[in-house]
Amino acid sequence: MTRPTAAQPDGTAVPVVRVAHLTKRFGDHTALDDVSFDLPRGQFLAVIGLSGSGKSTLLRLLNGLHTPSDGAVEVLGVDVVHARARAIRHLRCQVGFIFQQFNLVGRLSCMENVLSGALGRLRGPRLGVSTYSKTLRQTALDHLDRVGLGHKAFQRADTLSGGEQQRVAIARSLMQQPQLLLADEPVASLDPESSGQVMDVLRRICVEEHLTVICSLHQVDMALGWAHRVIGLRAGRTVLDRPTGDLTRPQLMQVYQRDGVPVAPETPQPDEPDDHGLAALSPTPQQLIQ
Amino acid sequence: MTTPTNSAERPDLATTAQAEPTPAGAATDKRALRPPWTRNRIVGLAAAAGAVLAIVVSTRQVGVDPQRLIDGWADLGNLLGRMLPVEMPQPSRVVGPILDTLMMAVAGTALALLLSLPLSFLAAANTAPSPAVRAVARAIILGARSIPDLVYALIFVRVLGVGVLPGVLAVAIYSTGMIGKLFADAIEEVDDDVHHAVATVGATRLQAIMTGVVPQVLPSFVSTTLYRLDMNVAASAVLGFVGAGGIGFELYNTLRTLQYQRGLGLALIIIALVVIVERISAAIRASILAHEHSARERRRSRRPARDRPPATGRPRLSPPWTRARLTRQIAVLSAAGLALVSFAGLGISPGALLRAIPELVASIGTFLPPDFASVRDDLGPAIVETLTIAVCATALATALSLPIAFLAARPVAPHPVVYHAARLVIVLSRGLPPLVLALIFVSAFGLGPFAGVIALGLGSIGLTAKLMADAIEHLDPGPRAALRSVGATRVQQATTGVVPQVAPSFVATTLFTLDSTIRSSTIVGIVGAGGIGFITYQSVHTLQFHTTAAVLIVIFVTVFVVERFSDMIRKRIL
Ligand SMILES: Nc1ncnc2c1ncn2[C@@H]1O[C@H](COP(=O)(O)OP(=O)(O)O)[C@@H](O)[C@H]1O
Ligand SMILES: [Mg+2]
Repeated sequence: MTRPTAAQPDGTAVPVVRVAHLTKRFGDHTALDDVSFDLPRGQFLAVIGLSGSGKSTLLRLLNGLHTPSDGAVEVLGVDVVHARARAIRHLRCQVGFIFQQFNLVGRLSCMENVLSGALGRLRGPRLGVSTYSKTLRQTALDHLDRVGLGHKAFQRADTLSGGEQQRVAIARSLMQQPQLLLADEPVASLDPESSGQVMDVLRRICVEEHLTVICSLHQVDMALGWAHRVIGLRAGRTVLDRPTGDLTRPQLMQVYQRDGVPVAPETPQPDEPDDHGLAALSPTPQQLIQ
Repeated sequence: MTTPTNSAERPDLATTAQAEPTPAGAATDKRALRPPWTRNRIVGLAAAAGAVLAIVVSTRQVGVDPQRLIDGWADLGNLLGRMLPVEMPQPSRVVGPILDTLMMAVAGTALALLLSLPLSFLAAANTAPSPAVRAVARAIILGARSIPDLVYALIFVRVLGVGVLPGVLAVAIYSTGMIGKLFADAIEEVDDDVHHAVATVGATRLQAIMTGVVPQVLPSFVSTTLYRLDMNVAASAVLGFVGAGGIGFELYNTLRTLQYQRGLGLALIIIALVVIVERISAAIRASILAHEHSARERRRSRRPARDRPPATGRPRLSPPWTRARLTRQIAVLSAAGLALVSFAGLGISPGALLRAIPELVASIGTFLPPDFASVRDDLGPAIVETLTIAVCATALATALSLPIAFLAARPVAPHPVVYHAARLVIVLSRGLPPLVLALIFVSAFGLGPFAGVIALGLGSIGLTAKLMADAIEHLDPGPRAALRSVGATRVQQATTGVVPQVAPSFVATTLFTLDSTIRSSTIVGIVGAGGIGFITYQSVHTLQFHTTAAVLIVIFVTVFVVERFSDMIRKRIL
């Protein structure tokens, strides 16, 4: 497999994602408006914003599910706008995607779900763990261990809790040997504790594998606690783009203002007991990106 | 700028996700890479082995010999050649029988509705006055559906004479058994809270049922009845085979007298008839469902109904005439009108109906006691043949339906053209009653169970593939989207993302097909396609009703046992 950015020391040369003046219109509605940013290898980027602010649209533009109305998108050195369908498919094999609803095949075991992440590299249909090679099975088990679920390898995926399912989904995308991980509100339907675990896993693989992660969130605290950098979107426009190191919670909350009036984020109010015990859960490793 | 190394990172991030220490390297190698042998897995494999064994034994019994298959298809080609060019019958000669067929279906369904309404409330656990009453009502419903409608028609024609009345009664009784069961099941699923809430205000039992249960089951009752109506059109189209009126009589005569070109013309008319009624009934059912859905949504969001009338100063004491209410009233009135017109058009007066009942009851005496002795040697092999036909036909139908279902499921189909072609195959298969197919295949393959297997197998695609395709379409698209995002091909997405998810529903569908082919396989013998139907036909024809009674008991027990068996497994897996 070619690794277009592998030779580059991170952050110094060709970025993993390069977005310039990106605009996406649906009819006469502008979902994304002149967004530009570069993302160096190994960075954990959180995209925050209200519902409808364009987070999903941005992620979908990055793996070629949408074509931009204007602007340029380059992912892993591939010009997503002008690439042929074949190149896009090849690109998708290298880009992991994590869904809010996990999207596991419920009746298959965790192991087989993880194995299915390798389908893009395999020929022909597969059904049953034994239809995958022993090497792949070993790798799948390692990935399950990595997300802390090796002991549930042969349990049916739909018997797992939401947080566990999301971790299996992450293991599945690791099976792709991805260069970039896109996660669209991966913890939006999880309880605080499971959310913490999932974010931990994402953060850990970002650092250990030196993997680039873009994660859309609507919890301010999650972004502050786990990401290296935050981009805030409001009505499709970038209203914030800062490393988490020099960012304070009130600054981040500004993203949720509409016409100068603060709007409650979709997450519970900060004065409610929803801090998720985040401070205790995880050290905020902001120093890592400096 | 420094990059954090992995080793520096690990202790820092060892949090909840790593709660269970992960065994490293060498240790993992020793762990199982295959799924463990759980009880479910063993039971599943044993069941699959049993099914394969049943199919192998059955195909041997039926004698599916490759040479015969090849010869048969050649004959079928010849037969089709002789059917062309198709000769459409003169309208003046078929309009009458077509109308009769439709009116028989409507009248029979209407009678069945009248009979099953009280029966189902007596048969449902939550509305039955006592367990004893419930048991009796359930037994009546069960008994009614365990004899195929064509067998009822065969007997009623003997007792009441040739004509449409025996046909209507046959449809009515069989349908009572079919919709009575579905009605009773729907009542038992009603939210008991409402029922109890009404009861706590001091309402009588009947009041509680009328207010607390009826409104909740009404939509399901209507769609069950509509579904039965379109099945009954297909059923009525062949009742003429045994002299119970309608277009089946014409078809039977033309095919028997080897007028194949006219036969094809009539068959096409029957297909068109069934398909048109099915489309109408499906459209009405879909609109009821949609209406129910939107009503529920409105209730949830507490938004006012769009068709709410403007508020007037004076409070009203009767419900306002909204569009929905008007539509409902018109629908009820036209359904009732249609039923009345059908009875009138068929020349069946209430008097004739009432006179038929004592005649039928009196005739029961001529059937008793059942005489097993005269058919002792034939009955065993005949019922075995019936079972093997059903098993083989189910296997054939499933094998053919699997690929068709995937092509006929919108999200999985490779191309819209393929999708529509596959849906057309399904519609055609549904439109051809099994008995018509059996008659055609007997001409091609000769008398015997082989023709029965092919006829029922092809005739069941309509049911089997449709249920399977619908199951695929109703699947959560999420897993498929995820597999697409890892770069899986279409075929890989279907194998890994769809097959495991629909497997239980496919097994249930196959059992449902078995349930349906076992009923049909008891009647294809009437046209010489093997099984117990031939003995039934012979005994009725030669007026040996004591023998008929014995055969009916055997059919009853067989259908009953197969239905229980398939119900039991279905409940288990779903
Ligand atoms: N396929 C589409 N067609 C039309 N409008 C869309 C489509 N996808 C998204 N939008 C619109 O674009 C805006 C941004 O949506 P989205 O990216 O899903 O927001 P978010 O993920 O932040 O909630 C919304 O106003 C949404 O209605
Ligand atoms: Mg979104």
